[in-house]
Amino acid sequence: MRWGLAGGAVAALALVAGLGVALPADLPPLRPDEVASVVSLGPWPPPAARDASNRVSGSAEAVALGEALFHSTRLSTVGGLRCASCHAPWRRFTDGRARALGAEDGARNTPTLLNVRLQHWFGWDGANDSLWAQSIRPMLDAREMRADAAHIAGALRDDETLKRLYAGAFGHAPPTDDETALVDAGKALAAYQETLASERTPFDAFRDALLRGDDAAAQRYPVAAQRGLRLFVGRGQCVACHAGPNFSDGEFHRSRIASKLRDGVADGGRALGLEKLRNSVYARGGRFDDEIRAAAKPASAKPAAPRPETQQAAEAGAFRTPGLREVSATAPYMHDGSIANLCEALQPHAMLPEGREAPALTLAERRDLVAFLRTLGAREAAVLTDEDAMTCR
Amino acid sequence: MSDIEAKQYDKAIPLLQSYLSRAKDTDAYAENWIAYSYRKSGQLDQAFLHYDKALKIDPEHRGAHSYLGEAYLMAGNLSKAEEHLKVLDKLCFLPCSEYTALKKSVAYYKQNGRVDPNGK
Repeated sequence: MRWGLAGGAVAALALVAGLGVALPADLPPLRPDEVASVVSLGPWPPPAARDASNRVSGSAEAVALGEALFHSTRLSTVGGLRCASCHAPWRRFTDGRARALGAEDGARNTPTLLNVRLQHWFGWDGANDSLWAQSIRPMLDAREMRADAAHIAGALRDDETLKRLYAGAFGHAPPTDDETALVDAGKALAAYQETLASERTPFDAFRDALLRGDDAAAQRYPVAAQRGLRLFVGRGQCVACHAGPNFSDGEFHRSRIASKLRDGVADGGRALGLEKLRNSVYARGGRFDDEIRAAAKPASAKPAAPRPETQQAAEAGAFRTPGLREVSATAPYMHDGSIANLCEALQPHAMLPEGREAPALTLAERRDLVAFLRTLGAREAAVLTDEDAMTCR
Repeated sequence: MSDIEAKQYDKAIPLLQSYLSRAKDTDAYAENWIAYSYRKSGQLDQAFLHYDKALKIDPEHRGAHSYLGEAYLMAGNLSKAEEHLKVLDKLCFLPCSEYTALKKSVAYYKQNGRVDPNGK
C-alpha cells in the first residue's frame, strides 16, 4: 500500500505530552490535497540562488569578510556591540529577548537570520528589499549600533584583518568614498548571512518519504506530529501564511497584536516599512544595486525608484510572516516578542487572507501542533517536552 | 595546551588554527581555547569570532559562556556579560567555577568600572 498515513496500518504508539499516556496511531490516510500541501513545504534545503543586486553574493572571499564583520566590535560605536551580540549563533541567531537591545531598547523582536536568503522583504516591516540593504540598517540606527558611514569605512581601512579580507572580496583596497565602503560592508555581511541555513529536520525526512512512497521511513515520524501537521495544512489554516519550504509566504498580514513603538505611537508595521523603502537610497533599482550597474542602466537619483510591489497599499499593523524552521528554539514570538511560548503562539495571531477566520483549537490540537512544530528543528526532540506540558494547558 | 599555560599565545594560536582547519567546526573546546589565546593576546574580534563558534557547536559550553562574558567586559559591554552570567546560572545546577569566576569579574567591573586585572 502506498503511504497515506493509514492509521490502521500504523502499529506504533505515541507518548503524549510526556505524561506517559499512550494513544494508538489511528489516523485516516491523507487526502491528495493534503499530500500536495505537505509536499509544498519542501524540498529542504532549497536550491541556492545568487542575489543579482549584490556582486559579491556567493563569493567565498566575501563570505569570509562578512563573517569577520558580523562578529566584530568595529562596526558599532557602542562598546562591545556586534551583529552577533543580538543575532547570537548559539541561539539560532536570535537574542532570546522579547525586544531587541542595542544602544537602546528596541520596539521589536530580533528575528533569526537562519534561512534569511529565502526572504524578499527584510525586517518585520519590509523596510528593505535586499539583504545587503537590511544589513546596513542596524549599523546606522542610533538605537542599535549607532555608527555612520565614516565609522564603517574607517574600520575597513584601519583594521589590518578587515583591510586584507576586503581586498580579497572586492579585488581592491577599501574605497575612499565612505558611503561606497558602507554599502560594500553591507554586501559582504549579506554574502555571509546567505550561508546561514537551518539543517534538515524530521519533518523533511517525512515529507520526502511521503513524496517517494516510502512507508517504512514515513512511519518513523511521530504520530502526534502527524496529527499536528494535518491541522497545519488543514483546519488550522496555518499554511495560508506559513507556506513553502521556509514556512513563510514572505508577505505581510495584519497582526492581531497591537504594539507600540518607543515613542508610544502604534507600530504601523508594513505601512511604516513601505514609507521607509520608498525613501531609501539603498532600495533595489537605486545606484547601489549591482544588477542595475551591471546592465549599465541609468540608476535613479535619490530616492531610488521603487519596485512595482512598493506601489501596493500597505495595511497598517501588518508584519512579515516569519519562517518556522527552528521555531521551537527561537522564543519569544511575534513582532513584539510578546508571546513567551509556542503553545500561546498558536492562538489566532494574524488576519487570514480573504477575511477568513482562524479556528479556535482545542488543547489536544494545540499540543499536536506544538509536537509538529518541534519537528521543524534539527536538534529538537520530536515529542512534547515537560515545558510544553506545563505551558500548553 | 602547554603554550597556553605558559602564556605563549603567539605559539599556541597557529597550532590551534592548524588543528581547527581540519576539525571544521566540530570541536567546541579547541574553539574556546583559541578564543582564549586571542583574547589574552589582545585580539578581541578574533576572540569573539571563536567564542561564537564554540557556542554554536555546543550552546551549553560553560567555559565559552564564562570567557565570552569576560570578553564582553573587556569590550565595555556589561549587559551582555550579565546575560552570559544568567545563562551560566541556569547551566550550573550546583555552583560551578565558570559561574563563580564570571560573577566575580562582573562584580569587580561594576564596582571599579574596569576589568579585573586578575580575571580569567
